[in-house]
Amino acid sequence: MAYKRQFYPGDSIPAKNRRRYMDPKVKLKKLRDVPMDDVVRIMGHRNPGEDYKSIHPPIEEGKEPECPIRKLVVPIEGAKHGDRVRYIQFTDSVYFAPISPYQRAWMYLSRYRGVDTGTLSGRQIIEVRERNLEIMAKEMIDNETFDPALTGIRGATVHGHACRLDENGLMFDGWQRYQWDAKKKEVVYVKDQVAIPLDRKISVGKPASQADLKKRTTIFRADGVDMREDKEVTMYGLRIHKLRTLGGYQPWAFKE
Amino acid sequence: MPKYEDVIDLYDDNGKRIAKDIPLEAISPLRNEAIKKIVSLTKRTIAVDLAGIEKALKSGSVAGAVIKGKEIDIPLVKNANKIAKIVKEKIQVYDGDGTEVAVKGNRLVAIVPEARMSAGIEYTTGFTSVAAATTEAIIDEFKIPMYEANMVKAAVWGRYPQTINFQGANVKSILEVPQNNEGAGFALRNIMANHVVALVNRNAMQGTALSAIFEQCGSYEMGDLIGNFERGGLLALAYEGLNANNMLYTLVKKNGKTGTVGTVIESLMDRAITDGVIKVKETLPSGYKVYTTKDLPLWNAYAATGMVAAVMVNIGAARAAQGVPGTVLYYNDLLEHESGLPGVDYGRAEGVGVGMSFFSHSIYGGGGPGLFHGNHVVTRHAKGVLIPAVTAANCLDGGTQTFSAEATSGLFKEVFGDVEEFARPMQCVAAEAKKVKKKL
Amino acid sequence: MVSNPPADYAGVPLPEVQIITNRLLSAETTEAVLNKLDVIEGVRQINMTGESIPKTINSGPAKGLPNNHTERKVINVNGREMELRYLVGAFYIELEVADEAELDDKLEEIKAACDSCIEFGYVLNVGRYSKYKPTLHDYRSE
Repeated sequence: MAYKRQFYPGDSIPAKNRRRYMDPKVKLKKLRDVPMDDVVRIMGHRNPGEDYKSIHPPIEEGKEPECPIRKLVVPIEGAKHGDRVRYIQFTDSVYFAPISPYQRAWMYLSRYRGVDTGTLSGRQIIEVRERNLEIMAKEMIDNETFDPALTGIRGATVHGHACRLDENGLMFDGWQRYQWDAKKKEVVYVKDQVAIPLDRKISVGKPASQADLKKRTTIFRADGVDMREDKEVTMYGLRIHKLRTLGGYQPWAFKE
Repeated sequence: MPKYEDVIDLYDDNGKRIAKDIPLEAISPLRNEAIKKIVSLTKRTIAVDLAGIEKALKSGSVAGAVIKGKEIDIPLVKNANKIAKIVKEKIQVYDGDGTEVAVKGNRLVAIVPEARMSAGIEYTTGFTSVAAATTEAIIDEFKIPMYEANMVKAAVWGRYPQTINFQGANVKSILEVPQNNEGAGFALRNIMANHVVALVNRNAMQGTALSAIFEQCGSYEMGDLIGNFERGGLLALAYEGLNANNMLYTLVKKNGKTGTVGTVIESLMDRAITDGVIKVKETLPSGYKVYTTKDLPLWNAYAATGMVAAVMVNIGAARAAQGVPGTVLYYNDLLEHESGLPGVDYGRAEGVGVGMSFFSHSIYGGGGPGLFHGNHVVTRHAKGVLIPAVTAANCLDGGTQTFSAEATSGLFKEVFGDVEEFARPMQCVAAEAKKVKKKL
Repeated sequence: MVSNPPADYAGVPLPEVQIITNRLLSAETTEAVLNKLDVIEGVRQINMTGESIPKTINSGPAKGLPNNHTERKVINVNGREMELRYLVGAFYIELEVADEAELDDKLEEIKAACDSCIEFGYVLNVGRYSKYKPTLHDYRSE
């Protein structure tokens, strides 16, 4: 028997989107193509073309400590080279951003290996060996989980995910790392993720419409799809709560 | 008659079967001699840093203070063998009682006899006997006068009893003082993951096993594995720690090359269904299948094994230990969403993952995952099952950690390095389990 | 800590109109709204709030660099210059009115002013939302 993952319950649009983003077999739509050098600039860990700095000597087969697991688990490219662990952090607006921070963690750990990820209230950090991070970051900026107006690339001072949007429909950013280009109707980055000014502007394209976003989002909202409307999702939450409680009390006595 | 019906096969760290049809009870710390030896040596083995004492006395710098005019210049390292002999005489109760004092480099490694332990209640007997014997040995051997003897005491014992622990002592035990334990029975949970990493020479399977042994022994001592709860703890120890039925090794092997945390969950679900541990309860309109189990403790052991496998795959691929709290957290959450069944330790491991992410990522002060143990305010809740995963991650680190095992725990590698039970606990426990099987 | 009220106590607690905008307003829109509100007779004071925009980057590797936020700038309200420190999302307008009928008239004027400049709408309430006379604390702190 070969088990196939089912990911997440539910029949609603957000539930279906959650499953899509988590399923590594689904190739996410590429909506834009931000050049790799620009991704590197926005992250600001190194200059494009510069060598990767390393934190330890390269991993050579046969020279690692004697451990059967090291023989079974192949290190990712950056680990082989001893790259530093660097990060990219996204802030996702509550106004129907394509994905929300918590689902990013689910998606990352379902799609990538060798990652350290953490969710905070409105932001999601991912820490990976540098050369692998760059590939991941480009995918995340290019694909459908990113919206130029409602997803922010912010290393620090991430405040904005629960703020009202501005008049151009952009998520608030006190450091204004990105601006609205009224002529091109596009969002352009003028600062890197920690607000160091960029040499030149980097366009990340046109924002999606709210109608489109409501179809793409993973966010349950009272003015969109209320989580309580999706009976399966509600049932799931109640069930896990109940089973954790019963398991914590007398696991051997559990029957259903 | 065995107490439990469960029978397991034990496999070693290379996925080779080393014990067949073992009754669950045979790996119980209450029955298994290898585990008993680990516990016994953990409290009885004490290191004395002779070079450290010599330097402290020579410079008058003892217990964090410098006392001018009270320097004592004596060649301790040079006379190591002589001191070892005297210390042994002092701590030995009778010939052949198991006392050992060996010279290892600039150190003495002393093993205090069981007779002393059983005549007292606290495990600190190990430390206090050796510290007192060393102090006496130095005073006697070098004829230290009364008004200088206090310097010797301070150089050996450190600042204690002005402090709660033995701050600045040149005698070391792998265990903390009881006053630093979070509660009753926490002594064996108060051993840093890095110490275990050092003891097993970075072998992730053996590290997981040794941590699981320490943690589950702690569970017994905390009163957590009494009566109905015992089977759950033993199952977790068997599957997560001792590679029962080769599940852990197989999960990692299957996902080692290209797998993710997600694919480990897929493999685990497959295994749990095939083994009949879980089955479909109902299929919802969306097609989502809700799973159920007749044996929640066994499912918990499976989930815990998957957790360590997920850590080995994800952290192993990164060769960077920092991701262990995140992996623990999201593995459990993904597994719960996948199955409709509770995650490891019925949700507690997931909760610990949240707090530990926060505490191990410099958001709240410094410190890497290697410094964590089961006695920590954020880790203590997931008893028995969490720390093995943390140890596994630290074993697999390729050199990214400031607080590496080499930096924090080299001493214990030297001290316990040639004791088979600490370096290869899986083989030792399995060998003893076979003996217990015959008795049951 | 709340400090002294920005305007002197009027002797009675005057009504205040709270306008919460559905979107955060650009400096240009804020300026336009203020210029329209400022000329309404009976408006005693207008306070604003929103999301703070720092003058310089206040943390991280870029700490100390000028923020250069396009909306943090000096606006002109009927000849008076003022520097915006927020991306404005709320106005509190204190009205000096004698009775409810007068209040209703003023509300119509305020609504008309807002409707003409605030593209994405707003929520308007009447009440008293801020401190209107000094308290013991202010007396002690002086």
